[in-house]
Amino acid sequence: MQSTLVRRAISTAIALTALGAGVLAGGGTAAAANKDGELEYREFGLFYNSSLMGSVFDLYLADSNLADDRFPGYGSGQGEIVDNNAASYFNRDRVVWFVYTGSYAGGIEGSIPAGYYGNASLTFKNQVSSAYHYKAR
Amino acid sequence: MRPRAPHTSAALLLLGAVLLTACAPGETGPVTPAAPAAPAAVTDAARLTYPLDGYKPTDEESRGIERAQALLTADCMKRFGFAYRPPEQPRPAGAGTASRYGLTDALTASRYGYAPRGGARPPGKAPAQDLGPAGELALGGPPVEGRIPMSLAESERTDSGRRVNGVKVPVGGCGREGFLRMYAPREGAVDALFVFRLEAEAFSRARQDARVAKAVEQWSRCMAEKGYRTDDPVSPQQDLGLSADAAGGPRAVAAAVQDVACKERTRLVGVWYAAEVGFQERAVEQHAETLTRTRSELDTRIRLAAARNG
Repeated sequence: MQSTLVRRAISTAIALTALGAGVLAGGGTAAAANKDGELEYREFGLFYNSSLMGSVFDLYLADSNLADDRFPGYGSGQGEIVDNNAASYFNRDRVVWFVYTGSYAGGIEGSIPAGYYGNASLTFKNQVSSAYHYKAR
Repeated sequence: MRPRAPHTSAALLLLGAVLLTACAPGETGPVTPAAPAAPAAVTDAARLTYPLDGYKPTDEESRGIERAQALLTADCMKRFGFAYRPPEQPRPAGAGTASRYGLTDALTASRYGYAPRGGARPPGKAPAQDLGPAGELALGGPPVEGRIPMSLAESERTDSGRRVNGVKVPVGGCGREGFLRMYAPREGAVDALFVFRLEAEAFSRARQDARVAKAVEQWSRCMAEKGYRTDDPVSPQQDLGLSADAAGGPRAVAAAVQDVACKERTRLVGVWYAAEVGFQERAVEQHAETLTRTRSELDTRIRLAAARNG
């Protein structure tokens, strides 16, 4: 995982100049479409690369098993499995999202406040495997 | 406020003599006491406490911070002339029935299998308030291009290029501004997920510890005695072929009962917990300075929340 994230950090630096963050929609979207590869307001997004780059997996409602999902959005990582594979997060929802290092709300619980944006650590080997718009346990 | 006394009473009472060792985290060789007593069964993993707990808000403090952040977002919206009504955080019915180590309670297993919260229906989301295009722009901000400000101070220096009713819209809108006011009013604030990352790393490292790995193998063999093929004691549902709809059915209940019985027989939770506490203690030592700032910022956040919530 570490080498993967390092590789992504390098590719992100390239992508930042080449692509821009075009998958982040503005606030004018009234109805968020779940898992369509575009992070809209009221959604929680997991990005394949750090700094909100690469393909995005966007959630409007909870998903208990990210091993069943693939990054749908355009960009690096498109088609890859989401489970344990996100390098950055952005909570564009109005509520706290709860993430778990295991599927079905197992493992460590983390709460991601509304408006939070951040990168996964390079040494953080076991990442998000399920995500909920409520505290799931 | 200082960090709460870490992992003392409840954990030690539950574990009894399970503290097989005060091993150094990361050591892979057998580090057992000369005459280990039989570990007590851990039947309620939700009551265990950990060294990093003192750097996190309690559930009540978290709810206060959530409320206050929503009100700060509403304050921002007022600048643009909108009466924004923040939504309530969705709260599921029923008590939580799982732990970080998966299912650990025999009664829950026999009643509900792997169905979360006793099979209670998960909450949806409140309908979005109709703010119109201008209001939604103020709340969510224009499409993000380039760097996202990481502090309120940086946000105030940054121009998103859009205005609503003559007022500059923050990058990320009022939703992002509400977060920054609560979590990063100044540059250099500790990341809101810092403790989560340390916890996750300690949990993951403990899972790789030789004693935990051995206990997981024993648990897996115990499960196999009844025909259940899985090596994932935390989330075995997929290995067991249990869909979300079937998580509370008879087949799931039978598997869940065996799961908990095997955890008790192999003392898996106690072994994992002891190793995890060791790794968390090491993390507390290694990141002492950042954790001190984390606690200080949390105390400030709690006071801010209390003041804003009134």
